[in-house]
Amino acid sequence: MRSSLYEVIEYVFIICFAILGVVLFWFFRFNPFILKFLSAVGCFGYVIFGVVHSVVTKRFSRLITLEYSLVGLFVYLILLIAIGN
Amino acid sequence: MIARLPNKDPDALKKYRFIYHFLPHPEERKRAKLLLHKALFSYCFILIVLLGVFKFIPKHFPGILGYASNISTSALLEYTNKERVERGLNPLVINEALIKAANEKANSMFENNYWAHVSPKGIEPWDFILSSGYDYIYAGENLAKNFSNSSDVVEAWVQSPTHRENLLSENYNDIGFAVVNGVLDGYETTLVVQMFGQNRTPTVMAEVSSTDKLQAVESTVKPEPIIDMEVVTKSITILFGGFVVTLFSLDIWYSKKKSILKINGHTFAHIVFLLAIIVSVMVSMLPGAIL
Repeated sequence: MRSSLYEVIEYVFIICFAILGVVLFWFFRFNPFILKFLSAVGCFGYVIFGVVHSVVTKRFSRLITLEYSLVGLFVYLILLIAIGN
Repeated sequence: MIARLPNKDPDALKKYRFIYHFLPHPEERKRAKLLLHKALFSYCFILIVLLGVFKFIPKHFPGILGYASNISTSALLEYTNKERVERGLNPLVINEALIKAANEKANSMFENNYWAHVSPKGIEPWDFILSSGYDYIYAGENLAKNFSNSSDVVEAWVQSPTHRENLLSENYNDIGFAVVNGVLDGYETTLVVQMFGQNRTPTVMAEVSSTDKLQAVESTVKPEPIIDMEVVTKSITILFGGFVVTLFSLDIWYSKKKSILKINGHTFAHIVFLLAIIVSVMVSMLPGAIL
């Protein structure tokens, strides 16, 4: 129950953050410093999700945290390339 | 449910197992091989190497990899006059003083890091026009940045009421353009400055044609790189990101179909996160701004 509630919260947060990210990207598309900052915050936030997920589910914490961290890092690097380094 | 092998031929077995690079393994209960931690780590490593390459090559070999723009002053003049002639107005004539004023304005924006009609020091467009030796009765200025081609720039101006007013004004006879590449707000930017005017003392038609004047100006623009950095970076983002999103989507579909229970994070969350990034990148690729 606790885990499923967490899942709902996670999805709501990720979807809200995704929408906010698209809006902010559009708004600040010509300011690379703000874009890089937002990207770093977003991807670090994603890693935090991984940690929280592991704590909430209490199982296989290292594997899942590592997966979220790698996805977060991958997305951050992709964004750095897209922004133009 | 356990996947059944088609036959016992070793080659067929190898071929059959290859699909688990893209699909989760029902027996091992793992993600597709291309989505395992090792693979994700490899993607990150490749991206770090690419970041290094993109930083190194444009600095040391600017002719190979760099930011390209297909905007030319001759095309801008052509599209501007086409819009005017279609509405029964006189075509504008290229004026060297206005070209000089437009170039000075563009350089001023890069040097003082601003994007506005009036500089932070209070210098107005008319100051650039007057200092270039053009004594005007009427004058106007349109600005654009980060467009990739000339027709989009003129189209954006035509769509904006205030810019269209300048573009299609009967008060102007002369025009000057500047297309300058530089760094604005720390970002590689292409600025377009369009200046209009009606001279108080009309000059006698010069012996040099408008096309020759434009060619002279364009010859000073830096050469285009062989590979456009913007196209490369955006393509990598969309292809690489799209590839991983596809793998995650296959993971959801196949795991559900074969009822594979795996130990992993929320795949749908990864997809939403990655798709948001791809959409963001596509949004950032939208045509540039006008002022």
